[in-house]
Amino acid sequence: MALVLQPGREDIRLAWLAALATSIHILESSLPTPLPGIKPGFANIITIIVLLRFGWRSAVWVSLLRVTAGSLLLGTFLSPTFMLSLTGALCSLSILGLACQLPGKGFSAIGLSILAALAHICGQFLLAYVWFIPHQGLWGLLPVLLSLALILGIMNGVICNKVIARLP
Amino acid sequence: MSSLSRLYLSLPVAVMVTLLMTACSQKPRLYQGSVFTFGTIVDYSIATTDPAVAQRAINAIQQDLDYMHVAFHAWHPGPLGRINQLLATTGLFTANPSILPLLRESRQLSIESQGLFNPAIGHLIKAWGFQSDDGVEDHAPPTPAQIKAWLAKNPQMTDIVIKNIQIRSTNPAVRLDLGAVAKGYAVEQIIDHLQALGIKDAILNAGGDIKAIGQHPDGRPWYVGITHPRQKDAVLAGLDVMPGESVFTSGDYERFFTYQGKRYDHIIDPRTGYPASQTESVTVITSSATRADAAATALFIAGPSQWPSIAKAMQIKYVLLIDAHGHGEATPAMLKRLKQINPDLKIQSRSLP
Amino acid sequence: MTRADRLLLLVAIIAISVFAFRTWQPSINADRVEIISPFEHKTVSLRQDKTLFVAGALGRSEIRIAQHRIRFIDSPCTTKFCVLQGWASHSGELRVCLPNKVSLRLLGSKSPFDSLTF
Repeated sequence: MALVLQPGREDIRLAWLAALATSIHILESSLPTPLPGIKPGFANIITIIVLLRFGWRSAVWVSLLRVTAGSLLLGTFLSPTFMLSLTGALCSLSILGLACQLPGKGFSAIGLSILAALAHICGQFLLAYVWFIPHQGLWGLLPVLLSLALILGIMNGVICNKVIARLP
Repeated sequence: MSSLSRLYLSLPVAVMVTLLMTACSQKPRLYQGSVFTFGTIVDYSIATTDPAVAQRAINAIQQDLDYMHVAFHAWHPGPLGRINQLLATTGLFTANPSILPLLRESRQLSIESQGLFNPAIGHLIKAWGFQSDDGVEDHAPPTPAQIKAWLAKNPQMTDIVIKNIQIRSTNPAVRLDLGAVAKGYAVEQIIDHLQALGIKDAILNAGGDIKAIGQHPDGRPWYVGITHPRQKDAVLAGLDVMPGESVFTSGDYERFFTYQGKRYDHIIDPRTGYPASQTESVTVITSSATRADAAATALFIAGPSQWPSIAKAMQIKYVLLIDAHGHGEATPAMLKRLKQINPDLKIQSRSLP
Repeated sequence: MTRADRLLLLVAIIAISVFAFRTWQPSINADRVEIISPFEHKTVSLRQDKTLFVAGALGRSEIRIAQHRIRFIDSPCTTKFCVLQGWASHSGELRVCLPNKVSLRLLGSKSPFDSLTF
């Protein structure tokens, strides 16, 4: 008895979006950066758009698929890089889940993107601190990382808005 | 889009506000750092409101000291190195004028110290192996016969005759080593330079030798600790440095070597030809850094028996001496100034004659 | 931008600024360094110039102390990012070799004295 998985319409859509996010993820990882661990996080744009259009569950799928597929393709699966990515993604998704519960108009794409970026970097930082280098001096880096995350979060939020405006 | 432009406006405003908050304080900033020069580490604290002045001062410290290090070096080629070569010839020669003020002052200080501070014994210091650039490796001391031979030649600063910029030595055994005075003279020059740049409050520490002007930006005198001669991390006592004062310490723990279990320190007693061994450290306070440097050495050599008379001869009011057993002796004036005295330290008051 | 966005942005800027101010105390010159690796945890004075070898996850990291400063000279990592970071001299500064799991943190205590004579 063969078990046949029949993908539904939604599955295919998620797969496409995850593929798109993965492509961005991989392209980004080849960009030169001044500091290791600093990335513009363009892949998060997809997460935010999916969140706004299709809901939190879809965003979780796309985000986790992106992290897993991206690391498999880059050959970093289960390496520290992957763990950092995964932690960042999980933290972002958690805070986004909470943010969506907000009553009223709540956050726009800009606010969500800022929250995601800050949560992402906080999660990564804590993992790096607890797991790799439990060193007090590392905290001196956090304000820099958070400032960058804030700026990149705003930037990505603005891009989200523009993309959403052009979507059918 | 309008909310976005407002956002872009608000960011620089936030940055400006934060910067203003820090810049508004009127108090001069303390510029602190160290430069490696003169064969040692020179720490500076300069209080000024103008960062440009601070930068010029820091550059001056590095450049001036670099230059003086070459000029006053006893065994490298340079102004003093050349003098040392020519002194052996007993003929008249023209010296590099940049070194003459220091030479004159050293000569005067040597006379006042009754020959205990004697920069003319360069040959002895060399024989002991203390003329080396990085640390002193353990080696055999010179033989008693060698030392006796050098002592017999009796080189003194008074053997040097200075006329305008011409120098002559009446004793070919004279070889200058200004190690016990050059740092003081250099500190004096740097402080002069800082004052010329308009700096009123600063403290300079050249390898443990200090001169201060003005006061700390907190509106209190500069506060200095005297390091324990036997415990690197402990302090004997603290003292407030008044504007224009120099605090110099000579210790047997800075440069020394060990041979067959015996320790030989770098301060040579010109009377015996051997390292002075009655003293662990001497700290003096006086206005001139040059005088303070020479006096710290002279009083170290004078030891517990003679330091009060030499201090009087060199006009040093503030002296703290730790003898070879770790007991302290100080002038009453010095005793009054010491604060936070180490509880393990017993200090006896001794007046100058 | 919604009202919530603006509020979030304001809170974030204030929080990051406060955090930065609290973290970056005025730097004082370090006098010792704390060295941490999977095999060692020690504190070394910066007063004496020397070269140290610290065993890490991949191998030996070579560390140089000179003129009250410290830096990585060599490391078995591939990126050599730790070596490129250069000298550190102020209290709170950090030099880390992530792959070799060796970290150097400079320490300095605020002494009651402005200077020490010795």
